[in-house]
Amino acid sequence: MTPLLQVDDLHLTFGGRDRQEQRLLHGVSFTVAAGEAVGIVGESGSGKTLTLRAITALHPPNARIDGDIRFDGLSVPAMSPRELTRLRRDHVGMVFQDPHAAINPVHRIGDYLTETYRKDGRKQRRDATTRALELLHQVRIKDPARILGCFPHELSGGMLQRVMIAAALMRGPRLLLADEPTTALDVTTQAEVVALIADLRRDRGTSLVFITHDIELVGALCDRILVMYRGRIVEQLTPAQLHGGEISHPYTAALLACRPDVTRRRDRLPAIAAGAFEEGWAVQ
Amino acid sequence: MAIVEHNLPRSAGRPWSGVLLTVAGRLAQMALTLLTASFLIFVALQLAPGNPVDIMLGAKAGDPEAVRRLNAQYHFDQPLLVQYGHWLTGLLHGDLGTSFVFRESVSSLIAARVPTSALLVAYGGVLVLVLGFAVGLVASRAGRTVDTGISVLLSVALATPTYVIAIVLITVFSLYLDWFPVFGSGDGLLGRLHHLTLPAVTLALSSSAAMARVTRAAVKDEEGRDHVTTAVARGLDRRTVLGRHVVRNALLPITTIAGIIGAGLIAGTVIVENAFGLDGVGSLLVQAITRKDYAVVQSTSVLIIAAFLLVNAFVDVLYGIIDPRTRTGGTR
Ligand SMILES: Nc1ncnc2c1ncn2[C@@H]1O[C@H](COP(=O)(O)OP(=O)(O)O)[C@@H](O)[C@H]1O
Ligand SMILES: [Mg+2]
Repeated sequence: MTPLLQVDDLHLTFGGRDRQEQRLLHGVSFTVAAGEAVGIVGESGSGKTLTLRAITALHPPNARIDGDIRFDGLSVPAMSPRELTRLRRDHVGMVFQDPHAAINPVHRIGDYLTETYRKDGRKQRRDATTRALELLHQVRIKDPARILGCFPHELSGGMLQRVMIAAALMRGPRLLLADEPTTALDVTTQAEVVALIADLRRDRGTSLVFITHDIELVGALCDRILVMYRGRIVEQLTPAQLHGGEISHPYTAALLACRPDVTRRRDRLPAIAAGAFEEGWAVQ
Repeated sequence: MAIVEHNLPRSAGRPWSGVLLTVAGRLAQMALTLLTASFLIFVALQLAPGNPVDIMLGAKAGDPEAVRRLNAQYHFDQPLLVQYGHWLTGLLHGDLGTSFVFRESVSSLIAARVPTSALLVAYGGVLVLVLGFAVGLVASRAGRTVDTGISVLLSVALATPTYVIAIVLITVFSLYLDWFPVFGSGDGLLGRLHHLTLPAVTLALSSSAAMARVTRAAVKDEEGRDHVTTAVARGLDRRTVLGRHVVRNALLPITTIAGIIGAGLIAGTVIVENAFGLDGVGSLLVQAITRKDYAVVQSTSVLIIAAFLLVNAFVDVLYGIIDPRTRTGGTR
């Protein structure tokens, strides 16, 4: 069976021609099976966001992509603009880090949720509103009917992040891409949003790629963990391996040690020096 | 009764009384500004060198009897505050005094000239909106070469003095091509618009260039925002992203400068009406100033300031409509 998503030897390069080339992804490869949840962890700047955006060809226009990305067997880099639009609209939902920045402040929540149905017929649009209400209810928002008429700035970060999750699920995508969806939220809200994502995707059988720099969070949420470091995937683990301490790459161990622990407070976070783990560690 | 209840806004009562309060406050503020401005103008006119009575009398300037009579007629012999009080009470009764140059009531003098100026400003405003916005939008979408070309043209338009623009336009489009008349006001709305075309273009050119620059910058800026990436990521087509997210949001900074542009257009009428010999409020003001026709200068200046304030109030209302964040509310 072909996996739902297959990223194969993905390289991403900025510059070229007259300017100095800068390669930021070096042969990233991984698969996501239908219904599977995969987490990508790594420090900030390790290339998680670039990888995630490349999946639906949302990488910066001045970046060049080499390698292949296949969604349901179809090559994404080979898609026409129309096919890409359809892939993004119907099959892949995305949730971003900062909901107040990621949602246009001038439109009402209801318009935002039903926006991808604007070009459809009257009946579909009415159904979309019904579906939006349903989804708001499912992301545990109280009084959905009132929220539809609100503007984004009238909602808290946690509320708005739920709205973005609802929006990502509007067309019943097969893959959900979440880029640090809880980083901008306070700790209690973080836990709620993670639990929500876990429930929703399990209920629907939606595949998930979840990015974070919090390795324990991924361990709780995902079926498989990819550890990313300086544009490479340096280790793949299952949650069992993670919790059993079967870690082979020192960077992964450092990430675990890095995690600010509420119960065992440290005076300092151990710093990870650039390039510290590069010598002698091939991918896989 | 049930119908009435259904039509009530969701949180009945509060928002509307809030709006009314805002409007009332705003009007009071405008009235106060006008009052202050009109007083300052009044004082400034008194302090200005030259004596209007001497100008009125011309050859008979030395005649003490005539001077006394005129001073009494125009209240020049009374204290400053009393004179200002006269003008203010007159204003409230629709009587702005008499112009000694035109031998006509100031209000009818101004009323006859307002349509030309209003039409000129409106015409110029439409040109700025259409031309400036369109050029800015094109520049924001264009490749490097076109963008640079437009940017150079805009710099030229911005740097050229209004008089030079007027001369060039008159030479090319009136004298050489004979498309537009040089002088006069024309009959009927179409005739008037035809006559006002060159003045309106002259008036609007540099404002349009400013508008185009702001539009280009605003659109480019908005394109790089996170919410636009989200819109693309959601599979919206390019036109929807551009219209509903990029341009729609670029309207906010554009509206911000619309007030300044409106004020610039109003101020520009003074030069343009003179250059094209139009009988508008702006040219009236210039004539009145050169002849020390105090009553006319006073009322015309106040009218122009009132127009500034009105444009600003309009822009504020517009801003409130297009940016929901400026409206009150909050359901956190
Ligand atoms: N548009 C861009 N132009 C140049 N460099 C970029 C761009 N976007 C990201 N980068 C660089 O790529 C690296 C990886 O970025 P990113 O994928 O956002 O990291 P992460 O999401 O893991 O924090 C960073 O060093 C960042 O500076
Ligand atoms: Mg990131």
